[in-house]
Amino acid sequence: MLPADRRGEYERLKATHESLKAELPSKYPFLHGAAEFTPWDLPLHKRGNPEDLGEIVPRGFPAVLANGKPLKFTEGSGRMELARTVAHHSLAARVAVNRMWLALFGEGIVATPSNYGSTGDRPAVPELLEYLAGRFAANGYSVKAMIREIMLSAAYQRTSATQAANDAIDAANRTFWRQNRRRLDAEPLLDAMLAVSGELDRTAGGESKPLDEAFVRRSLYAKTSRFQQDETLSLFDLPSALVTCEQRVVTTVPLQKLFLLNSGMVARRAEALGKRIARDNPSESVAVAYRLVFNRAPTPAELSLARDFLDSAGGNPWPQYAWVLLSSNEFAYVD
Amino acid sequence: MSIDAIPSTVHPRWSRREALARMAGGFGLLAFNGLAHAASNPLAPKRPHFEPRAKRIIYLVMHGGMSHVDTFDPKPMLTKYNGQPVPGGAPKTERSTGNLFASPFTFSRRGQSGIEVSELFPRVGSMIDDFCVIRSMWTEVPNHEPSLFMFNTGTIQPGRPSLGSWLMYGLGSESQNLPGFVVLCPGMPVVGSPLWSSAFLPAVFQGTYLKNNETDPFKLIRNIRANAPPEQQRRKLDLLAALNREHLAVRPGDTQLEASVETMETAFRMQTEAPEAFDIRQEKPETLARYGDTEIGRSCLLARRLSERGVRMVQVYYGNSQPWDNHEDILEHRTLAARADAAVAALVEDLKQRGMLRDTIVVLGTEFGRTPAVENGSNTKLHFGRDHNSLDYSIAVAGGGFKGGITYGATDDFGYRAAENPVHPHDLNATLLHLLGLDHTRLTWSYSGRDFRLTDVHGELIHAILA
Repeated sequence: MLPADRRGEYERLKATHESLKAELPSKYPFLHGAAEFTPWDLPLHKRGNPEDLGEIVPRGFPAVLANGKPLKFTEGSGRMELARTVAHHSLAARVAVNRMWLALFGEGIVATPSNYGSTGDRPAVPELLEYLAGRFAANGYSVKAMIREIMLSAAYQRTSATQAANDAIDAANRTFWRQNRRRLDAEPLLDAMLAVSGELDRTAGGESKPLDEAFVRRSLYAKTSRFQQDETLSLFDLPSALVTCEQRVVTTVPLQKLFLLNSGMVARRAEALGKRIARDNPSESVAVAYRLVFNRAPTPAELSLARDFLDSAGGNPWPQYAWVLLSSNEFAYVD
Repeated sequence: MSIDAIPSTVHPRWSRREALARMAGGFGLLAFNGLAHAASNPLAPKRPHFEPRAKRIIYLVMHGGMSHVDTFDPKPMLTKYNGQPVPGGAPKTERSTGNLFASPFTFSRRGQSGIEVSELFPRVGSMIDDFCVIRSMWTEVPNHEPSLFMFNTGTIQPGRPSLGSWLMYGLGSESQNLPGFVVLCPGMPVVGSPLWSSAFLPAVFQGTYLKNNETDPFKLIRNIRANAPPEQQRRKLDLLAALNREHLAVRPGDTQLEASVETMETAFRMQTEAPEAFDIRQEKPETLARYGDTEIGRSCLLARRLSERGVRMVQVYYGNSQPWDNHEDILEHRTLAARADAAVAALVEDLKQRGMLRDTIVVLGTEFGRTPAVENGSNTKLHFGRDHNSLDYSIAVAGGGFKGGITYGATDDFGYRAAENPVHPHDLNATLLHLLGLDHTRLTWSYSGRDFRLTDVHGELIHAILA
């Protein structure tokens, strides 16, 4: 126990501490960093056992990736040398362009994007992979330039329509004679709904927020954590945040449809889109809706289906009609 | 037809071609199962490696660490040397421990088999002939998180798929209207969702966690309450189906699109079928009374309802956080066990009565045991509890091809270490997969350059406990 004269001082300091703490912003930006210290070489841990040590292994680059010639690192810890060696390695360029291709086509040229070893798949079109890797290096490893070049290619701009002759030769489309039809990933699916309903807040940056009914920003800004993954994004195959993911798996399960049917989130989108498309002339409304949601005009058959529905729907037909368009295959799958 | 139904390199896109060629063993099986859309439905039932003994698991977790020397592992020497120092010193556990500490509970021989069970589990004791008691379980780390990870995912760190996820991947789901892998906890166990994560397996294989403090199924399951009258919903779905048909007409043969149409209809039906499955209020009051109107009682009753409807694995966590972690006072086990005893006994009775115990495995498990020595550090005031002990614990398994009325393995004189036939969670998992028709060495997934499996490079089948 403190003597009385000291206690006053203690209480004063404690109050100062509390008030300073209260003045801090609730969250402040921070960055994890690492500093170099005096580095040393470590001995081999035999079969991973730190208590069973072998000979000292000097820092360097694996000989198997350096044309069989061991490459020693000597500057400080060697981290910078390692980073440089990896970044300028031809294998890294091949891996990088394949990942970009995968993102744009849904399939990589190498079907095992994180495994180029003897247990991985061979590149389906080796010449294409080499060409892209070469262009990537020649353009100073600019990801933007690489994506532009791929997207301007005839291969990228093809439709996903099949052709019997090509199908007979390469049904799996490993040679990319057509584009792959793909379901939108979790994030673009939710973003696209917000975009067509007119609710999307396009502000860039800022704090992440829970993905609830009031959330109208791009889902990039939705909160998710390793402890509690966001349930809506997971429902549409957001991979676990515990591990790295080379390629997402796409599943089609009833719980996804229950989300469309009954979630407050989708109901709000339909409500907003319904408001956005409502016109005095129903045919005009349907045309507006098709332009917004599918970026095309309705066919006569679609128009007549819409007219029948709108005539028979009880209550306000527009949110109901908007819901149908937002839940359609054409909206979720990209040709 | 090859029964190598589980490929090591499933392509992540589940295209029709991949699925036909590698997943299901060709058109024959698809036709056999009558699953036109098996190609794009990863949850469609799959053929196991060999004829299974069990179809489903109900995995009850007494998390926090159920003390074996107070429940299923009687230690007369511990009673005899009560209060004496541990000969040779106590092994290092999480916290500091003192002298040997006899169980305050009495054991007696139960059933035809005469297996000794403590007074904490009287009703389970009366049914002990249905159980195989494994007294020699052990694991690596005397801390909750790594040991919970170990028995669930086969490693002590996060990032590997759970047992239930492997089962979803290997066997699919028997019910297309309910999730195939359900996790029940009236709260959140320590660690939380990484324990039922699918990690690098497809997200659709992860456990569906339901915080079952609620009994109203509409509050339990997300998006299950129809937000419009059925006629209105039906009208919308009819227009949707018509538009999707137009869309599909010019994209013939795309199974993804076909599956999407079909799952919408399934979802429509689920709105009426699923709430019924999850509604324990439909049970007779006498039934609930047998299980006990407690958290674990209600969970076990719900687990039975779900199992009856084809759910592959229901994992039940006893309660929020880690209820069985009695560092301070082991007498708290009395209340915990009284609730578990009624729930587990009623569950096994019901399964038996319905003829389901034959092909349903019930696991009464925990992440580790507790020390036979008293905990005496400054973390606790009352020194009447036990510390964590990963060197030994007991579990009991019943049904689904396990031999009943036997014990397996034994601890040393005081119950500190597994001494005879030690069983690691890898061995248990290998055996559970085996009973479900899966070879643990062949159930693999290629990730990050190598094939992973639940049992890593370990796991030995325990033949002696198979019926």
